[in-house]
Amino acid sequence: MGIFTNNPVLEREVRGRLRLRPKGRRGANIWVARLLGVVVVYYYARGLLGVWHGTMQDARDFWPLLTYGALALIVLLAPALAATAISTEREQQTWEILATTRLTGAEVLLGKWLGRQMIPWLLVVILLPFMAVCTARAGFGWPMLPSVLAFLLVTTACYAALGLLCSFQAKRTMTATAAALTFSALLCIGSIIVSQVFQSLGSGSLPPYASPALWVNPFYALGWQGDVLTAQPPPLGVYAAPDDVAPAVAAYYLLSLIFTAGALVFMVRRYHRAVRERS
Amino acid sequence: MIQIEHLTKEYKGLTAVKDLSLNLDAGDIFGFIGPNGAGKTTTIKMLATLLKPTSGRARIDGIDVVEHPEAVRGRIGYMPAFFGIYDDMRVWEYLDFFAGAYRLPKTQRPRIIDDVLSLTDLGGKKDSYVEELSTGMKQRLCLAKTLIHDPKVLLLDEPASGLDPRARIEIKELFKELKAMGKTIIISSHILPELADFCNKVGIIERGEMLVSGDVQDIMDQVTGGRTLEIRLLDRLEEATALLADAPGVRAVRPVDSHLQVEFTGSPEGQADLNTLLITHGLRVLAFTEQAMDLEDIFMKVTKGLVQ
Repeated sequence: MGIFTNNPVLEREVRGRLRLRPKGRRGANIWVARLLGVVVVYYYARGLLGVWHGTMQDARDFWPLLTYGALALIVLLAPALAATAISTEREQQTWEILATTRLTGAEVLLGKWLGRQMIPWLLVVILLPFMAVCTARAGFGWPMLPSVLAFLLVTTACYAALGLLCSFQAKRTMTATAAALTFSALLCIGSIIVSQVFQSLGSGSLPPYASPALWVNPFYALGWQGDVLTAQPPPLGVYAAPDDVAPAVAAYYLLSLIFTAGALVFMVRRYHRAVRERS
Repeated sequence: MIQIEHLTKEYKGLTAVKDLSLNLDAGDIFGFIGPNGAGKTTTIKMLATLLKPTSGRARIDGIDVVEHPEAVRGRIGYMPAFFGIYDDMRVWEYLDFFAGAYRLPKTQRPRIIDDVLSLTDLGGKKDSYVEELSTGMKQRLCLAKTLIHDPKVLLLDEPASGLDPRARIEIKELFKELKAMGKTIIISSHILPELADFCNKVGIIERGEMLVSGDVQDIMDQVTGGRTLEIRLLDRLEEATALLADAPGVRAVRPVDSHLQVEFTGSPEGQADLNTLLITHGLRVLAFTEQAMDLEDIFMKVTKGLVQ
């Protein structure tokens, strides 16, 4: 059985995330949902057309709002959703039953890790037409869209692994969620504070890309990636020459991938021992 | 089918299971009896590959549970005492999930799901959401999940706990069907009369130690050291006491209220001779019966009420 194909844990996670289950007054709810759907589709299409017919500057102004907005949602949603994956199984006493099936630790954990990324991915898919139109209208060049998508995917994978790790280690879902969001905040806000502290203690003001603490900050890394691709000043005032920021972007990707792989390997190796310790 | 040799499980400063040995053949239904904290659940969890023994060995179908846990998991069906169920799934989805988890081919799953639903009498609930089921139905659904991969061995930890009398009877009938299917079952329970109905072997555990184990009748003989006879006489109780005390096979005679309680270790013929002895001495016997002993009596005799 493959981890990505025929994995019942992944199937269950995906079905669970995407299921719209009618509850209560079913008839009324369906009509409200349909009406809401029509309104959302209308404004979505209108927004898309607005960007398409807007000026190049409009598209350039909208672009950071779109990408940084998506990134902000990802660093909040991915760890929070993944943090409930294992601790909930423990709390509802299904963890032991799962551990006595023939599923391997890799199937269970990678199934959960991938499944919990569904909502952030869905978000990216919803924003994808806007991103595509924006890229075309702003004249960024074709590599911008795939590179931003790659950045968002890597960040989602990394923050989902962080959430899953918290869920794996914590006994309670509340603790896991709080820990995951705290670590997420530390990476996004704490890294800026640490960088500032080091700068104030150091010899003088360094450009942000020279501060290793900011290499783990997804917002700076996304900005630097934009610098590399467009050589134009993005928001947040982190504009720098492509050659200067490229190592910082590479470091972000490398650190994210190393952390993701390390966390997953750690959990897979300890899977059965973790079940035994909690039995 | 199940061989346990000197199995021991120690936690920090506490021996949960001590030097436990047991042998079960295919088709045996073993009732695991003991007070709370005696070590039943720990033993079952070691067999279910959820806990590693500190020492000793356990094999299921010839496979060591520590060395080859993956292979063991395919042969066992484990139902814990406290279990959760994925409430947000439909009954068939829940069973399909576990069928997948036990690597059953997709093409065979619908038939297998129908079979286990019919066995557990949940056929009518196939499309219901799990959260809509009653406690008894959830218990049966968990049992259906346990049976989905047709395991040779079932490890059922307190499967009837928390059920109302009707649900208990229903689940008891289900166990009888499983017995008829030739499954080897280890079942722990506090409700001893339930076990007596379908277990051919029992084991009594206290403070991690197996006090007695084996065939139900053998244990009864072993524990009681024979039979207890109850003899009611019209009169002359003292004379009968003296007469019976000297009879062969009689270990003790106690007058209790208006009758005598005789502990007898002899043969059935010797037991019949006792009756004849009383009559030939002119004693008028109103009743001569063998006191029935059940698992509860044995449990009370064997255990000391020590709880860890």
